[in-house]
Amino acid sequence: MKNSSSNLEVSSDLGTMRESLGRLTSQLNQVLLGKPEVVEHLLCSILAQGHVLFDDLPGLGKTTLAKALAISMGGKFSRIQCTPDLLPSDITGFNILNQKSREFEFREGPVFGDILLADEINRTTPRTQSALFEAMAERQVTIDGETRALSSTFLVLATQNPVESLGAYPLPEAQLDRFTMKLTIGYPDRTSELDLLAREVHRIQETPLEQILGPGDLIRLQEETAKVHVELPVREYLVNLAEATRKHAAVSLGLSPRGLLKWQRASQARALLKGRSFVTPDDVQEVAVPVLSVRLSGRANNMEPMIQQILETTPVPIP
Amino acid sequence: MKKLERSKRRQRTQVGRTKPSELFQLGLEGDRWFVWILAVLASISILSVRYEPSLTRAWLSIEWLLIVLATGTMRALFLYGFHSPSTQTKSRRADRFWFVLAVVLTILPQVDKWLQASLGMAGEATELVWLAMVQNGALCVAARAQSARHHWLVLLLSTFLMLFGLATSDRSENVLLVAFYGILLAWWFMAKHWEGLQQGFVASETIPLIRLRVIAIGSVVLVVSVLGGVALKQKAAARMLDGFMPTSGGNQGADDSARNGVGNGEMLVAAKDQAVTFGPVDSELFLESDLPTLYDLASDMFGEPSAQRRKMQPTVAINAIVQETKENVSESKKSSKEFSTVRKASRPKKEQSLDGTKSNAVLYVIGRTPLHLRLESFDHFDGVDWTQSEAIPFGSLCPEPKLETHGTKPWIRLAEYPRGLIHPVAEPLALKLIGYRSPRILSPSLMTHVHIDQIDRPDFFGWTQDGQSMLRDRDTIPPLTILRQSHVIPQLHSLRHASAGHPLFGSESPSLMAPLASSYLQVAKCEVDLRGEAIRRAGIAGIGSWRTVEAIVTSLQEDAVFDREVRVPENCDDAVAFFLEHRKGPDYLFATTAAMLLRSIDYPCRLVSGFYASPKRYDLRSGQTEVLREDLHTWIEVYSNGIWIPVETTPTFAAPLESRTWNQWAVESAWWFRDAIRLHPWRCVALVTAIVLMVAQRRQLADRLITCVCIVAGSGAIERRLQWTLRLLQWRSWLYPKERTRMVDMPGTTLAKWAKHQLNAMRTPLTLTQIDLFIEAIQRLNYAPRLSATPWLQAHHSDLVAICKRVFHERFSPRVQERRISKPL
Repeated sequence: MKNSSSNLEVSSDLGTMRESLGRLTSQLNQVLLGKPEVVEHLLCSILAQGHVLFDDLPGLGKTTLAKALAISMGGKFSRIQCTPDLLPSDITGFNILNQKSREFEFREGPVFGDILLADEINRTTPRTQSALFEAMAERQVTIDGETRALSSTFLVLATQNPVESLGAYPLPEAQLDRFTMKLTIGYPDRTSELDLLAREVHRIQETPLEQILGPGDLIRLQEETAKVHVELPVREYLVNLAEATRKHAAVSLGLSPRGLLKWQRASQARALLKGRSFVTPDDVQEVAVPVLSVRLSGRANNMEPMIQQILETTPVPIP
Repeated sequence: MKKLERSKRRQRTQVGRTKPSELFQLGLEGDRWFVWILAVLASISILSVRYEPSLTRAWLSIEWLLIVLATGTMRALFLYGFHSPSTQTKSRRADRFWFVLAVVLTILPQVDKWLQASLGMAGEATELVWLAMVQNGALCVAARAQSARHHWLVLLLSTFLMLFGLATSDRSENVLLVAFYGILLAWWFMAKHWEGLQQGFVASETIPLIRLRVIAIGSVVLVVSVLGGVALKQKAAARMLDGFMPTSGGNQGADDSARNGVGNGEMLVAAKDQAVTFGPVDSELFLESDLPTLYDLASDMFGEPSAQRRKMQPTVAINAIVQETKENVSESKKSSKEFSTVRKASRPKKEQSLDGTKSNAVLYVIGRTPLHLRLESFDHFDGVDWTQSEAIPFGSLCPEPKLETHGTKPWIRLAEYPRGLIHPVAEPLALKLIGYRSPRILSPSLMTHVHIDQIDRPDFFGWTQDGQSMLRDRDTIPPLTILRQSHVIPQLHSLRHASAGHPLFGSESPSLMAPLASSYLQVAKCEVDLRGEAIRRAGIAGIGSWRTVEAIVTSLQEDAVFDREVRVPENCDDAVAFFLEHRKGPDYLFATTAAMLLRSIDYPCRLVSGFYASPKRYDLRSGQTEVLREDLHTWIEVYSNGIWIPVETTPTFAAPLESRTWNQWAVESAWWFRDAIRLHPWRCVALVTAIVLMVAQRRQLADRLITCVCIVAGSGAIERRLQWTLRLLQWRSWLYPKERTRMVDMPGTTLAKWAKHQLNAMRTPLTLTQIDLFIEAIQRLNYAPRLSATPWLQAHHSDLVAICKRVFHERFSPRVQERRISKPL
């Protein structure tokens, strides 16, 4: 694994960072074959300082992608396999009595990493979920009355299985709103699967993953994302879309203002990924489905057709 | 502190947007629709004022309904369509649309009046047109009202209209309308006051005292109802007593027909002023009176004929029919057979009127004006006097009157005219005679039928020697008689387009009217070469068609000045030469000169005197045109193909009506096309071919035109060029909706996707790099900050200009495009 963080520190200009983003994208695309849009949305969410919920079946590459992301960003990766008997302290950490020093010592939990993969988050109890959501929202945990800050680039990649409902604790809407996006990886296409099999049969040595971004770079990229210009017509378009979600007959819970802010930030991140310093309605539309599907709730389980309908019927601002 | 007060005031002005739902809790949805409803109520009030005198009530109602619907729709779109899910851009478009609609609706009444005037209709009075414009303006402002300033403006205009309607209309329904309006207005004011309190010092938890408002409004309504009921009851009692009790003048009612003064009851007035009132009224008016004859009227107008001339001219006996019918005709009435062009200066006019009325009218007319009502005609001119020739019994050539029944009414057919020169649709006309004393029936030149109530005997009617219809066995037509007539209007277009040497005119015309030619083509001796003068004045119109008549008359009207006071000297025996030399004079000199000029080139014509019903005297409320004594007028009639066509010869007087109704327009247009095809066949073929080609190639032509506009408008800065290129692409998508997707058809399509599709659909598509560059440019232009976009655009200036040129110079071919378009967006 190459450590290229020093190079980035030297050349921290925007052009270099964008180039790094391009490399990061292509590296992740090599790990998750045939799913460039998932990689793009994942990076958008990271640049928007948002957490991601993978809503998909097992075996589709969620963990692999999370690990590759952690390596690429040079952060500390940790994983929790959520079960019903998982306790909040298993996530946040706990104080333990040191027999030698006769003092309590704090043992950090998995949340004290840069990227946390919470596998099958809907299998753990609401109590434990709440502990995790405090960390997601506040980027801090409070243990025995003492508040401890988490990493500034703390990122949660949670997964849930949409098929198995027995013994699961579905995430309430208020908690789902903590996530920036809900991504569905889905099955790879035929070409990608053939490529996957060929790699396994011929035992092709995979190119070792390299660290492309350092924690400082990610922060700078997130700051740059916040600076991306959003023209008034685009802001109006976002508001119109938000109102459309609230007025839609099939939607029982429309987009919240916090969700609208995250949508704008995700659009800014997408513009930055595309090398632009301004947001276009295309950016808004591109990130609409992952941003909205985690927030909107209605009669249908799959909200994507309804979101597409809103996008198709809401006029785009044309000067 | 000042800032605080200002911000508070600003908050209060944002009424419609800030707290719409707190204003009215009793059913009205805030004040979002309130001002519009008030404006509609005011428009109903104005409609009632306009409706009564209108001649086109159906159209007026439809127009009002359409305006209300248009503004209501606009209001709904503003509240629920444009505003709520709007973008700023769309809001600007809506503003522009509203502005255009407001301007159109506001000037619509004036345009309507202008159109009606161009069609020969009287239209509305100017003050009503202005009121209608104010009404439409108020409705338009109400449709878009969003701030308190708009609301106040609408309320001001609506209240003005409502009060105006109440003051001018005598409909009792208007009182109820105003009462309802007042209640709504009071409610609105209370709501405003309450809102002011809420925004001012009263805390938000204060409960609105709706019950207090209801009680206050209810009390006012109760009091007004009681008082109104008492007042109406007293009025009803007064009406019951009316007729039993003598009054000291008038009935104090709101009836516009009411007159003050003893002896001017409604019955008398109704019979005199409104020609629609039928039948003679049993009053002293039927008795003989000393009203002046028409001859006296002519003397009043133009002065007495010169005594010397009268002595010199032998008096010709009155025509045979009149002699037969009335032996004891007064001397004054015999004089109508002669009309002298040499007169003394006119004496001050006497104010003659019917006993017991203030009206000076000779008659009233219901029908289209201007109208020339013929009374008598003269055929022989000796240089000074016009006389009716005894030798030609023109009246004997006229057909016998026949009785016809139309509906349940007896109509007398007096004449029938050959088709071709007249319009087949007859014009209705009604005359009510007030100060008219003659047995002759005043009528337009081409009257066909006449109807007098209860008279179903054709032998009551006859002809004078000069061919004017009359009542036999009577000295005069009784005053207040209603003469309903039906007349036809000549179609002059066929005469205008008749080629030279047409049998209706020129040398052959005397043979067509052999017994009459000697009289109607007689030319008095004149110092001036009349034929040469006539040919000179005819100019390029030549001789042989109706254009000759019009050219000569127009030339006279342009050369000479109408002056009623000019008199031919008593020692002058050539009035025509005098007029041609001095170039000014009264109407009979214009008519005499025109007649002599036309006769000199063999156009048979005669002098006609009668009354001119001027459109200026049209009374909108009664729908009648008053004809006064000073409307006595002289013009000429030209004979053609068996009919006498009236021709106005005097400037400032309108020409007699031609075809003006819609079906007449249609017929005339058909005639015009027929003539055009007959006279200029190749030009017509070329024109039709050009029109067909233009219709077939309309899109390409429009494309070229729009492209030219875009090239001109887009010259200069690269930003402007890009914007106009984008507009061109948009317009082309409208021109070719099948080949190119319009943006409005896919509202969710982004600019980049749409532009990419448009550029790919070009006949010679751009390269992918060029397309990406153009899309990047328009995205930067529209969504990036100007400071960052301009340097980038300047850096790619030459490439972008090349792309824009490619788009500008694209030659669109739908067939090619159909093959190219494969995938939708």
